Amino acid sequence: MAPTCPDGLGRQDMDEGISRDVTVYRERVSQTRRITQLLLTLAGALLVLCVRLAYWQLPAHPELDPYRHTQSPESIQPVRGGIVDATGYYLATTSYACRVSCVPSLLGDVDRDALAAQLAEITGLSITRVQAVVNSDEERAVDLVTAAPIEVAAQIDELAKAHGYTWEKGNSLALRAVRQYQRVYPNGELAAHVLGYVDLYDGKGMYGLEQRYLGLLTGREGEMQGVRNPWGYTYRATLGGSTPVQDGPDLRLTLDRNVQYAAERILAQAMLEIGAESGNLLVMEPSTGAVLAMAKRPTYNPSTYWQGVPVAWFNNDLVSMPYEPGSVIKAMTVAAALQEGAIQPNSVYLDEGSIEIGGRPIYNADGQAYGRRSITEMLAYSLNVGAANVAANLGPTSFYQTMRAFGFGEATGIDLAAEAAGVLRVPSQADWSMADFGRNAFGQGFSATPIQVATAFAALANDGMRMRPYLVAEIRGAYRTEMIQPQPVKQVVSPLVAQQTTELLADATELGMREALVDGYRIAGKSGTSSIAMGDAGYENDEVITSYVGYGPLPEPRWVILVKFDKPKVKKWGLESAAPEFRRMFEFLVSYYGVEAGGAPDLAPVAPVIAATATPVPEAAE
Amino acid sequence: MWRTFDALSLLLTLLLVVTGCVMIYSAYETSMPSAGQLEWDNTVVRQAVFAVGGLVIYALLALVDYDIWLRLYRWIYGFVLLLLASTLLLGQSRFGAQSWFEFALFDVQPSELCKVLMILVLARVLGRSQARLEGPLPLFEALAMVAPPVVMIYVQPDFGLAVILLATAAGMIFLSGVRWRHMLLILIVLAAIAPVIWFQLEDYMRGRILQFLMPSAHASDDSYNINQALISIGSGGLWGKGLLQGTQTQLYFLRVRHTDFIFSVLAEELGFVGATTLIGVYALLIASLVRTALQARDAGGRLIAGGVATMLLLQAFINIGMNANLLPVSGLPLPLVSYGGSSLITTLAALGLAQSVALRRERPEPLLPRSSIQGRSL
Repeated sequence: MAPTCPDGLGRQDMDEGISRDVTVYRERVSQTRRITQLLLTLAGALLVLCVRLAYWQLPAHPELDPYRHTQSPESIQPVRGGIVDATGYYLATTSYACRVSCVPSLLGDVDRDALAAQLAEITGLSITRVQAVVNSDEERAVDLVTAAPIEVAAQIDELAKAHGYTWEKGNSLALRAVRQYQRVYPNGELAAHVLGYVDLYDGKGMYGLEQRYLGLLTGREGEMQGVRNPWGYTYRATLGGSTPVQDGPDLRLTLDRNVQYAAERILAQAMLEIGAESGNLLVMEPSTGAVLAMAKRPTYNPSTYWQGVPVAWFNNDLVSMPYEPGSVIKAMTVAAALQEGAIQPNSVYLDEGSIEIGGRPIYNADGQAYGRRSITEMLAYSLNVGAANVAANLGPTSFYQTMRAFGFGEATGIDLAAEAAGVLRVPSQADWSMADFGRNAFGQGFSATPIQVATAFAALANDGMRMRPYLVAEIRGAYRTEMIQPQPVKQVVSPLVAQQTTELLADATELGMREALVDGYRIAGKSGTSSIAMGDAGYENDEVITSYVGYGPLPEPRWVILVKFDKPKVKKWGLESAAPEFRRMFEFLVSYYGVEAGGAPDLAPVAPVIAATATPVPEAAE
Repeated sequence: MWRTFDALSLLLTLLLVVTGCVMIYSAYETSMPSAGQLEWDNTVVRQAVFAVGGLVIYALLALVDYDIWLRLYRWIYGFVLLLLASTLLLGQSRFGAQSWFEFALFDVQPSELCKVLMILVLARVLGRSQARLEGPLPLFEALAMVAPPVVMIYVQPDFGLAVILLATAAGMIFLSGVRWRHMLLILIVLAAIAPVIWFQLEDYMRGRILQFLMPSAHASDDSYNINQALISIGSGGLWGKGLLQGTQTQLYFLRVRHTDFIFSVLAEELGFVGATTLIGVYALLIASLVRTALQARDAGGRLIAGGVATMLLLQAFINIGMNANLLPVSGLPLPLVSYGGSSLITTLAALGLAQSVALRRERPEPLLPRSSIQGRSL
């Protein structure tokens, strides 16, 4: 208890106790004062803090910009859509991969064999192949792998660092691992001409579906405004907008990779056998126009399209390269004549060995006269005089109307890049002449692409209704899937005429084109052998294009198959080279789709009227 | 006894601890990949566990009469020296400081503990009879006792904590009523040896001081942190960007954001209003400690409460001053708010001691006017 110290306390009254009490009291007074002083000091310190905060927080401080690291909008690359076949397998896809290349002349003074061994181990390539590159003195970048797994990139970078190579833009110059989205074609060459390829440098689709669906597959670029913090992570800024990236949708095709594979194998074997310059094989569904297989030889691998491929090999001849279709067109001539009533299925004409139309004589391929012949025989033995005869009965106006209706002279509208329309001159055009008409009746003097020819035959197979040929059955986006419906284009001839023509073609096949027949199935088709036009310079001597177009099995045809060879070295007749490949393809299809035999009568052997071994002479040789 | 319980102090303490947990959550947990998950190893949960442990110690220390500790001051002082010495010998180096002991549950920083224990020791040494304060002896005694721990903490090296301990000791010496002239003498001596100390300082400490004095001249990690802290504070504005909305914080620009720079997080997300409110809470807590000191039973109690108040305010001031680029970077946490078990538990222990003083306070008679005791020679 602190004592009270009233005034007037005498000195004599103070004893030791009081003295101590007073001491304690003075101590308390002093300490209390000190506490108050300290409190004021501390309060002052806190006030300084508040003033400091007010200085920083209350007025705006533009120099303290929390968004100073906000970057200009950064684009986000979409992933290119994939291409899937009818059975769901990827024919084309995109992967984030690494491309390893090296500039051998920049590798410097290192143990090249040891380096090659390390590279081979990282990339999984054969050591000899890597050594060949590393030990060369090339001064340009040589690719070791174009699409290695992305993990490889880090290992290559490490290796480059270990050797102390110069770095530029995140890659070493001598040994480079570029990380990028890459188009991958898991099936290699398969359907290369349908797919096309993607340019390695600008990412643009080239040829085929890649080019045709360029915008769709590419997707839409996104945009993000980010904040990059000092540790290199980018965050989306709260300020500023961003556009979401839209990846390209997947395309599902009508094409079946198994059919495609069979088609390509058949084509490749035939090419070996007959030594043609190029070959085409197409399988299409007549009822829908869906393309099941589209093959071309020679071909290339779109994954490595830059590796020494002649530019012509990229072309999809089936849609881009018109040719003179030749005798297969006789089927259209007959259909047109039947439609107009110019002939009946059982009509008979007189073959005198030649006929003059527009002042130009027309001969049969062998130059002989055949006498009285039925339409079936005309088709079976591919008699040019007969076809011209039929056309002469029909007249040019109706002929060309029907030919246009079959789709000649205009693009079919198939969803592939660079489709050509061919040239079919009609009477209204100045440069048309009656002489053209006679030759057109058996497929000479005008041009068409294989897809046009196949589409025309498909119309006959589909009761006269021409369908638009197509490849993409479905567009599978992230949010929306669009189904592509088969698209009828035109009723070319009446269903009756179509059936009559089909029967005539089937009879003719059984009579004169047995090379195309498969036991137990009724097939309608027509062979063709045509000279190769060289612009205005006439025709190439001895070089022909052989083809066979047919469909079956009747009475409900499921496939139209077109086989075509350019400049075969042997078997220079369509019947010899193309018809057997048609048969092989057809055999594959019936077994693959499990179509039972039936409906075809047993064939009695028919003595050939024309010796099949006749010297091949181009049909329109003049 | 419970009538004198300082409920306001406890309430403000809890308020600060909770604020700390919320800000740690904002600073650390939301910007982590496992955002939103409450796991045992979660920073906020750990801090809450430390808080509970600290409050238990708070309660125990409040219940026990502080006089016991004052009587045991020799033992306590011996323990402090032993602890710091063994830290120097055994402690593991972490963040450049040899000050962490691996305990079973968490790491404890012995020097944090020593800071509190030294308040008790000094309260006893300085709280003895007034008569001794007439001469410079208690001053020298206090300085002599405080010097070895300060040096050992400084050698660890923990510059910030050494400064706090020294400053707290200085504050307590001032509170005890040591004569001005004696203190002035010490200051002159210190000023004289200051150059010597300067050249004894480690490079990084000199760097910090220089950087504070000439901010642009020393671009380093510290100036990076300070810059980011200033941007956080400055961009907070009056009302702040809202809890969990601070871009500086959420995008990792602030580095030690859940410990030393938690104030910047708060200033960015809660603005000037939030920041000054926090300072206000500290001011109220310190005011309540000062009230405890004024009403303390004896000089020892006065010095304990006054010492705790000084320590708390110094730490808060140094930390906030550092965040606001008013003081050099010292690595001191914001008491009760920053993440860290050692700091939280020892601060709660110190407040428990002050509560013990409050529980045993008496309502003293009012002091007489100064004139009434003047003229007496005793």
